[in-house]
Amino acid sequence: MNAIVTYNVPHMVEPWGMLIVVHFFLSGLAGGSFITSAAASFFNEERYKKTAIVASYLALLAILIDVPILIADLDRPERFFTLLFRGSMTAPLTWGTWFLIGLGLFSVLNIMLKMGNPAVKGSKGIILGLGSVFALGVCTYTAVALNIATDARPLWSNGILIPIFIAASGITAIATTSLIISLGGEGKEELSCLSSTNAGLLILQLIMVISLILTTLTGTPMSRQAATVITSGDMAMLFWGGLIVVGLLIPIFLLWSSFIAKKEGRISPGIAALASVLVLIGVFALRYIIVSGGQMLPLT
Amino acid sequence: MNKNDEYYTGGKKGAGNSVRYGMVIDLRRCIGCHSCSIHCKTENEVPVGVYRAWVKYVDKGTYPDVRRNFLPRLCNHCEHPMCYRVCPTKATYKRDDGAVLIDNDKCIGCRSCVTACPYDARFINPVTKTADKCTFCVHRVDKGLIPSCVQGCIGRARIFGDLNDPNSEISRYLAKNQAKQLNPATGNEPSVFYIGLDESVEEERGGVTSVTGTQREVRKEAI
Repeated sequence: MNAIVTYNVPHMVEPWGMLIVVHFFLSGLAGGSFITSAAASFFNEERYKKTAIVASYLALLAILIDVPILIADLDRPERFFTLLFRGSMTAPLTWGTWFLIGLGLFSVLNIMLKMGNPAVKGSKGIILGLGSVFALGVCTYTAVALNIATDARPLWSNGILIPIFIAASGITAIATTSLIISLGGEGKEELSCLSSTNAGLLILQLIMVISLILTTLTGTPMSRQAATVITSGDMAMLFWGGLIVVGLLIPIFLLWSSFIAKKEGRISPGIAALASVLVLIGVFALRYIIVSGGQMLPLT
Repeated sequence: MNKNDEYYTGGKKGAGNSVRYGMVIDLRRCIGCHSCSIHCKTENEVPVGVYRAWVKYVDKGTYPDVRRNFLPRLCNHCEHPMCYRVCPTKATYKRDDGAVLIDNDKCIGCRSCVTACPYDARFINPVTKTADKCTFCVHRVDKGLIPSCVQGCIGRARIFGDLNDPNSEISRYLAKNQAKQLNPATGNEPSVFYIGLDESVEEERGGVTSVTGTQREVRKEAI
């Protein structure tokens, strides 16, 4: 039987807007960069020196831009400091506050480490290890904040959002680091290593994004509706064009055909830079699709 | 107000007793007059453009066999409110009597609760810039009065009272009639119950006052 809503009061149609999308992107960049820097230092400090240094600065820079944006997004920004002492442990935003503060501090220590500051030289393992825990927290809490939100937003309540956000953080960080190194025109060995790691992450991400859409499409009627907004509704162009083709398939093809398929090959800085830019567009599209697309269906 | 008054709730305070306030809305008696919305607006000085209580209209059927259904809405004052769990500054709190309230002095306007509420009961008050929603009129209830929307309902479709007291009007009404909560699958356990709720009325979403593309399509179809 036909039923149609003729009057209703949908309140805030999109409580979380573009500033939150930018926050998710930057927090992913910050967390991912710290882990990239830590991994480069851990595996071979000499060989991956540029990566370790560039990523360590990127982590701090991203946090310094990210935190003011997050505060600006509040409707009462002057009260942001109360998050530090009122913290409710059930709220993902409380964890996020502490993860961001911790990552900020460890990013400074990591930069001091890279500069060879004698004060921190002896505690490299602790700084990189503990810092990575905070970094992983920053990459993850944003997904948990959406996850915990409500079953009424099927795109958000899907558990696969957590690995998708972690992978997106790694992809963002590696792509930005590659872009900066490739603009310098040197370090082909490091670029090749970064690019092959990102190619692997991109394939993983493609599989996880398809899984997210498939599990949402095969759910309840409300869940199917939510997935349809992404696959054939308002978000379709951005999803298929921005995320799947530009952000995932073309970079995977570029990286694969240019050097992974040619064994022992070295990637050219131009290809690495192009792939990085496409990947960054794709990650931003992904963050936007999840945050905005997840709120597109009216709740009542 | 004396005890014989039909609107007397007993004047029970929130703390230290086992009162659990709830509301029953008998949809068979609702005529969609918006009295509840207006009473709530005037009692609580709710700003223009936002509503703590409102009525959703759903038209069902094909001409000439069409019926307009009404669904009065308000905060469900859930037993396990997700808005409470996600509030990072403990601005959202729950009284012992079940009323879920917001401390305006603590709210930072992060909108976590707005995204977490599956019932779209919350919004950001354009004047205070903090989260806002129905309070079950606790300022009235604590003085022994019933909520404003209940007092203003011309069909007496709303019954407010103590769900834990088996002799209260609401408990007796719930015992006699089959009642449903909105979207119980979310696990929030609303304290607002509906009698005569048609599932398609609840499930049909969207509305004419909405603004996004998806909802605009709903509007076009409606017109």
